[in-house]
Amino acid sequence: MAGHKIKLQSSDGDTFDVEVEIAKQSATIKTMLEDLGMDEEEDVIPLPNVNSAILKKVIQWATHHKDDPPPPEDDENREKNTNDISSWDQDFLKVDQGTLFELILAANYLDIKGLLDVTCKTVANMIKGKTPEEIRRTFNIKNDFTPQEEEQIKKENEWCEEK
Amino acid sequence: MNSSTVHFLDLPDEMLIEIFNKLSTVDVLNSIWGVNQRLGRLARDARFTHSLDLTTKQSYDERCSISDVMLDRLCSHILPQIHDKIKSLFVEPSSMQRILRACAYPNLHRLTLSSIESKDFIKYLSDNSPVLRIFKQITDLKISTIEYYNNRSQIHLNTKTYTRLFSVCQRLAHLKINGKRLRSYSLLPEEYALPLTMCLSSTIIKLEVNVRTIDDCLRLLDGRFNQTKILNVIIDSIDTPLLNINSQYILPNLTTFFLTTRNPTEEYDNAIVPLLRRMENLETLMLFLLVGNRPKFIDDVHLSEEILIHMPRLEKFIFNITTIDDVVEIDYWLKTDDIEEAWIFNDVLPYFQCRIDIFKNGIGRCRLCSIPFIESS
Repeated sequence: MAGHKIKLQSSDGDTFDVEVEIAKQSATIKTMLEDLGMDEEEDVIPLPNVNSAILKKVIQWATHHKDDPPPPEDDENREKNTNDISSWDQDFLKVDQGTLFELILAANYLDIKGLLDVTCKTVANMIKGKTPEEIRRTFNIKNDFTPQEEEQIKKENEWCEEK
Repeated sequence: MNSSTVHFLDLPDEMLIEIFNKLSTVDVLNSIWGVNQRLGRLARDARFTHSLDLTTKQSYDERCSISDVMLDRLCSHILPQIHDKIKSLFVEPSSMQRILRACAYPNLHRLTLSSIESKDFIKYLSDNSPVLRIFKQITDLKISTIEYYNNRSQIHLNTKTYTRLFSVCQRLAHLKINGKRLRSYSLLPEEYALPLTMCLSSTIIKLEVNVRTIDDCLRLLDGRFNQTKILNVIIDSIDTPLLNINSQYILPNLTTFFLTTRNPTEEYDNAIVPLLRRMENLETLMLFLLVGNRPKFIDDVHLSEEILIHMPRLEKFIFNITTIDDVVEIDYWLKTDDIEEAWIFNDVLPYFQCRIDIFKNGIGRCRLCSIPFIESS
């Protein structure tokens, strides 16, 4: 029924009224609604893995994309392309790194393929073309190779250069 | 909204892999390898090391080398550490030698060579080539953009190259050749045979190739590739065959045949039907044909009685056949313009769709295709 709403509850207890058709972009919520018969307006769907701030962003994304066609099936042979992110999604994902990673976790938990795809592509674009040292700086990652391992890598390089 | 404290490394492995899957394997190896222990382990995962495309896209069908910086790092550091994991490589001429010489690749079995020319290719196959051992071990080779025809010396060189290829690559079971510029040489006399068709191989099981004439196709099927089970052939134009099509023998090993014509042919009944009747053991047949100037449209009755009845083992038949007729027979006028109908051949064969367009100038076009429809490759 158009306009029919359900309540989604975040991990920190906030509830959000969301149209069923928007919420059903999440395969996890869709399954709950269909398998558990949770279709009454007073039913509350708990989402213990998503906090209020992230759930609000997810609902904003799903509302904007409610009329999108279903995303295509994954094809291993297809050329990798991370440059097809819409301008709306690019603006939507201009957030701090932590929020971006939380959106990935939420998209995975809620099983929203389109959101997972676009958030992963955004992080992939942050990786593309960078050296390992630049990746460490970008994501604040500590180099945990031991001095011996670093030395071994240098030796391998020397051996290859002598060939 | 407050800033989140979630860190990149807080993502579980499967999410990191999901992100890396958006990148090319070269990007993963170049950027992720060596960042830290955990990411290095993920970059060694089979999905990023089994099959490497070491080219970048230049245009629709042209590839070029990856950047020098990336190539240096890959060849001097990364490839030597994962070379025993690599099963498939995609390379292009300017970086090919360096990549193939970077390490041993003991498990490499598939090689894709983009835009390679015969004069270079034959050097890689020579006895003193430092990468000869790689060609000796591969089972699967894809080559694109070899010029088949240019002049007599080019034809001679190409023939020599293929002869050498089959002599060196004793384990080769799958060969795919995407030859370009066939159309440019269509003014060459018909008797100029495709160089590949002057060679022999008793190891090739699957052959995918585009050829210029029906005679090239007939040569491929005259026993020189006697173990071939799967043949996928794209013919530029089908004219009256010079070779005697009826005198050729039955093809007992052939179980899968894909035939695509690039241009309309008027030789469907004289060339294609007799050819198909030699394939008694076919299990899969795909036909993508444009047929011109035939007195009747090719329909379900024709396919059933003239072709399929001769293929008792056929399990899969996918087709998209368009017949163009200048003078449409009166029977077809019983249908109005743009009729779409679906029938079933019988209980076994697939659904198909028949679309007949009758134009006001008397020209008719009949498109008969199986459902679900599959585009020609």
